[in-house]
Amino acid sequence: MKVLGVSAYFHDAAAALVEGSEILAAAQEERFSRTKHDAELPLRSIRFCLEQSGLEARDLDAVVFYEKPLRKFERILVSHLRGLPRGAGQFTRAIGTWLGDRLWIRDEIAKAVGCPKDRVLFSEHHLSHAASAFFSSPFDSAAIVTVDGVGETATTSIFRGETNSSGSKIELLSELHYPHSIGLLYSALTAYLGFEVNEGEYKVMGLAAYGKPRFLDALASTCRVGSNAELEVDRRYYSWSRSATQSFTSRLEALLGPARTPGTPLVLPAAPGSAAERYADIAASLQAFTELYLLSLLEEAKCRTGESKLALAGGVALNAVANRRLIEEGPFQSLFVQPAAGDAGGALGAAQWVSHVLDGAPRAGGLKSALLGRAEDPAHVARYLDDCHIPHRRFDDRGALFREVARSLASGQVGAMSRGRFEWGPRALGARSILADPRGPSTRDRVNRKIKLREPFRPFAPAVLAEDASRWFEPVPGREDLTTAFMCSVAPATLEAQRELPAVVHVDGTARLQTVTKEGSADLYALLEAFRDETGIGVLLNTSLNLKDEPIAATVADAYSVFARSELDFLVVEDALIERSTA
Amino acid sequence: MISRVQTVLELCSLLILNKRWWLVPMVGILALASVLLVLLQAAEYVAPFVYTIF
Repeated sequence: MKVLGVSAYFHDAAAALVEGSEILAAAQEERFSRTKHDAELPLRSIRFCLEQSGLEARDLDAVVFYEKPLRKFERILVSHLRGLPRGAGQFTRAIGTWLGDRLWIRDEIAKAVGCPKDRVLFSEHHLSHAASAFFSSPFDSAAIVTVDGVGETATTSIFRGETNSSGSKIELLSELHYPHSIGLLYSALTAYLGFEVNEGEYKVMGLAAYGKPRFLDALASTCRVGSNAELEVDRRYYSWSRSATQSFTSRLEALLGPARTPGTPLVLPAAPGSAAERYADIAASLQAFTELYLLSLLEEAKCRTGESKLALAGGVALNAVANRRLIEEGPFQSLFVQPAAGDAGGALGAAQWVSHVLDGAPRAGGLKSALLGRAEDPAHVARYLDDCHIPHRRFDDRGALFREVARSLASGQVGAMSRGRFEWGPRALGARSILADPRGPSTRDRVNRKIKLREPFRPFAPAVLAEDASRWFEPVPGREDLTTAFMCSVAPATLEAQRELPAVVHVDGTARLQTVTKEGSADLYALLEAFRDETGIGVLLNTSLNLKDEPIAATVADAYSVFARSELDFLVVEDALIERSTA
Repeated sequence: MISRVQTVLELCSLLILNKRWWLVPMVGILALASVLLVLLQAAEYVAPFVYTIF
């Protein structure tokens, strides 16, 4: 059965095409449209999925939307009406948007895909998340926990997934409903700290490392955690539906102090008594509160399921710092997070749910590689470079290309690599990455200030050969951490790494590592081997191939655009090497 | 158009099922108004008057 999954109309629209247990293609719309977090119906991603798999719309057996729009519309209506007359403006806008297109999603999808309306199905938001986590994991049975802002009405869910000889099933055991949501709380505090919601959560996580959780009790007083991991948000401090831009009230500012104005400088490490210190401390308190809540949620999931393995999904599952603590202190032996754990991943989960649960397709060992996006045709790349008169050297031998790149990186150059299919999910995992030698103490500043043009306090991640990982980063004894292949958790750096790899170790001594295997990313693996031959170290600084506030590159044109507008020393596009000195 | 009307009916059924029947009139009127707008826009000679009507 060929099933197309679609997510759209909130943020991170995406499409994924599944046949049986095989994921044929998956991509986020932002990669094609070049609009960060593009939420529109993912027409380009749908087209890509069909082209990649050589299928026509008529070949599809089902097209599944990742949530139930009518139930979501009902929740939005009720929550807005309860808040009236406050938030009247937002209510009017919401009604307009929903009556404009979202309510008629079945028609919109059928029209966009070109399939009959009766082939359009609907999953549920958290069920889609759960399916994406469980069916991408290698587990035959597991607890599944999904945590995000809000789906139709659920904000947090506990499921149990099982695959046996009679098929696969995902069973809902408990859920928490809107407005009580740790995801919305994190977003509200992200806005309070002056960052953009649905974008700045990573920055809050990075900022937290600079602070102390001295506001933990204050935060806990605004959001009570009861028995059975029930969360109760005090709505005197938060208001999710009153305004599109501000979801905290003046009472929260009275408790924590004035909110940070977006764009104001944040100098870190902060001077004692400064506003920056307070913001860092609030970020640290929020991070600590989130971790404590998730730990209690996992205890509840363990009690309800009795499982020893956990698959985690939802936007909150992208909190790499929390994930490490869940592996270390949580009750589960194994943890898996799929690379697109946020709403984009719902497209994949919805398709997998239809394929495995409704159609009974057997499973095939889980997701091994996140490289599910579009690859550039090497002939097209060659034509592009020639037509644009971009000087480059072509390498027929991949080994020679990687040896040359490894030498350049070891000499202190910062370069980028765009090869093969691009990544599924928000992380650059080597297919569209900026790479640098992690040994240089000034590398981080150089990449942050002159190439990525982003906040200097944000850390960079290391990509490390899987077999060398324990030399540089502390594993969790007795636990199976299946999150590092997709850069979904952090690990404390060993003393040797803290000494030798300063560019990739954050201020708190941790790093959000990516363990690289040949199966997961053959090109990055080969490059890391070449770099190890050159330097004795199988680790590279790896950050996404984009500039500030842009989606990660997809095409040769996107990659060259980043190269042209930044101070990158070289760019590898398929088998071509473009160097700054000659370009 | 038929499928839009079906969607409105489905939504009304959901509201009644969830004991939110009091929302049905409002949702019905809003949704049918949007359906009507689409119908009017589809008619070439009527479209210019839509703005003045609403």
